[in-house]
Amino acid sequence: MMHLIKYRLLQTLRDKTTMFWALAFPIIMSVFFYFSIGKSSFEDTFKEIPAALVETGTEEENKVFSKYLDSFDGQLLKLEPMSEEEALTALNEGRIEGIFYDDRSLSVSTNGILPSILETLLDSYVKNEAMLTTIANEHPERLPQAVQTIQAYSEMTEEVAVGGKTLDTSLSFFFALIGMTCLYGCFPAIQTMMETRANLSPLGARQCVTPTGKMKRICANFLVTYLIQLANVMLVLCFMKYVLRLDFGNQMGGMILICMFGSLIGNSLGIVVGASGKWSEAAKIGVLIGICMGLCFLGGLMTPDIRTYIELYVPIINRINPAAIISDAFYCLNVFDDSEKLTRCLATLAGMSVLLVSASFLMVRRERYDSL
Amino acid sequence: MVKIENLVKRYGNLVALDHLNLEVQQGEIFGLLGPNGSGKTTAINCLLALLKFDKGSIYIEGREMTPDAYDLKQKIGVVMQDVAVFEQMTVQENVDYFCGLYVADRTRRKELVEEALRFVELENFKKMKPKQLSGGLLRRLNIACGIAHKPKLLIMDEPTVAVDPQSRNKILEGIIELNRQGTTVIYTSHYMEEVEQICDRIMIIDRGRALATGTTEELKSMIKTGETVTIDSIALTEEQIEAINCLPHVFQADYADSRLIVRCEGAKHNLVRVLDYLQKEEIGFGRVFSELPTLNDVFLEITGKELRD
Repeated sequence: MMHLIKYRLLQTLRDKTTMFWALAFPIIMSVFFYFSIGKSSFEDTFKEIPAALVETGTEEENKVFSKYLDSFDGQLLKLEPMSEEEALTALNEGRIEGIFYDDRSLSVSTNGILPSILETLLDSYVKNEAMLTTIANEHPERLPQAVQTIQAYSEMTEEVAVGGKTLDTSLSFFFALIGMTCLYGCFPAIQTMMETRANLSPLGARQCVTPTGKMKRICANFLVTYLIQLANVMLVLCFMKYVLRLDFGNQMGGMILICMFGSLIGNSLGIVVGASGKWSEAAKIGVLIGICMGLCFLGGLMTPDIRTYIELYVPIINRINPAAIISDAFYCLNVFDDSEKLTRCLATLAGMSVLLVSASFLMVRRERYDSL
Repeated sequence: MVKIENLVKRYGNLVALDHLNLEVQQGEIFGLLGPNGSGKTTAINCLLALLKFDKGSIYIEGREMTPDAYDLKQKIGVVMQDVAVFEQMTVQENVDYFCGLYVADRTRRKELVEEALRFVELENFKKMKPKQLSGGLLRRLNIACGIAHKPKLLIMDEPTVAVDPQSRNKILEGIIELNRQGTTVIYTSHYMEEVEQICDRIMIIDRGRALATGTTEELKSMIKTGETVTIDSIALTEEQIEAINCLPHVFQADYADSRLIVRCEGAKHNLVRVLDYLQKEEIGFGRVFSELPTLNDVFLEITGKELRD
């Protein structure tokens, strides 16, 4: 057995084409994702919004509003005091997103997320000002308590996910990408099956006439390709976490567990396609690419909305699509904190793998061929 | 050692093997000779339990050959028609891998691998990958992978296809040496010279049927042709051709493109008789040569077609 494992390890690691698709391709994809989706998402979220502050009066109320805006400067706003003329020019040239006037008014030139944030800031100030004025007039003794409540409310409105964890939505693409990497374990696996069956290659024929049984060879090959694929997925995961600096939270242990089950289903998929039919290697790889891409598309790799539509109209697909299940497992771990559903996802992946591998074994067991 | 009885294999309507019977004795080199598509490889694949067959039985050392007859497979070495080696592994790793499918002991395996590489003269190429080897060297690697575990029965399916004459001779010498060391060999080919050179007994096969079996001499004695006289650059009339046809021991005279081919029964002085006639008739001619019957003549007489068709 060690002999088979040693040489399968050598062959797979030296097979540049297989390793490209199983390791390099997902890394390249993750870089593309990072620059096209991930990075822009982070920039949109955390970029300071450039705005101008035009002071028009010297009343106390005007100064309070200016101080309110100053408190956001350097965090959410990049606030610059300007004359009205300068500010209008800057707004027209697109150098700033809006003009705050100290009389508690705002000018913006376009619609969009950033001008909306500026409007929200102004609305928030105006509403609180009105409320505090009312309280000061009617219940002056409760004014300190009201101020305290407003501060507490502002702390409570921090954006959190359902499971109580913050999550950048762009991570969903990377979860789907890890799912795709797991499924790409089918490529090293199918390569081994091509070299196992006598009717698929001369190497298969040569090995079938030796006293080393087919099952033993398949088991050794499966073990090696699974471990290599798991290592590949781990490398891709580490690349995302440490090179692209994506925030996967503190659930790396759980993510590794999901990758273990994900790689299992990827390999099983390769084994079952390899074990079925007498098509050429190119045809089988074509079928596998189609299956992987189809599953990943339905699992939300290209557009996350597709999963919502499937959930609405054909939910069974989401229950049996390995890419969707892997993605779900990541959500359960990182977003919903739903350990019960996570366990169900992992059990489904394991069950499907056992089913596929068992079917493959039955298909190739003690096989004599009609033709070679 | 090997016994095939009434083997029938069909691919749809095509009968690939038609009640084939074959028996190979221990210690001999048995040749399976036939044109492309005659059923040689199909017979070998059935023998190795790779192919399903419709009828018949196959025994090796008195036991039925099945896909899980691992103890029988342990004694068999196979050199397939197609080169079957791993591109990602070196020459030495390839031989070690295939040897390891038969021999578990690492120390013993190391000796066997070195011996096999020496045998096919690939010691200087052992660190190379298969794609760096020439066609001839690749064929030798293919053979080394099949013989490294020292099989009792070696099955070689056209191992010299597309091999240069020098490598071919080395391969043939190697097979004779293996046989001398006690290996029984089944050798398939459509090259009659090879089969004639190395095989103790030969079966001529066509369209899945065994046409004749025996030693080279036995096969040649089965046919009428004892000698073939060929004369180039000669001009003959119909009457003269008819006269040559009537010479003693001549049973067929063919004339085409200024070439006369005279087939004679196995008697002496055939060439002298033909030349005497030409001299008497004052007929000029060019090159003259005489050949003893070949396996091709055997095949031609039995089937009416050339072996290489």
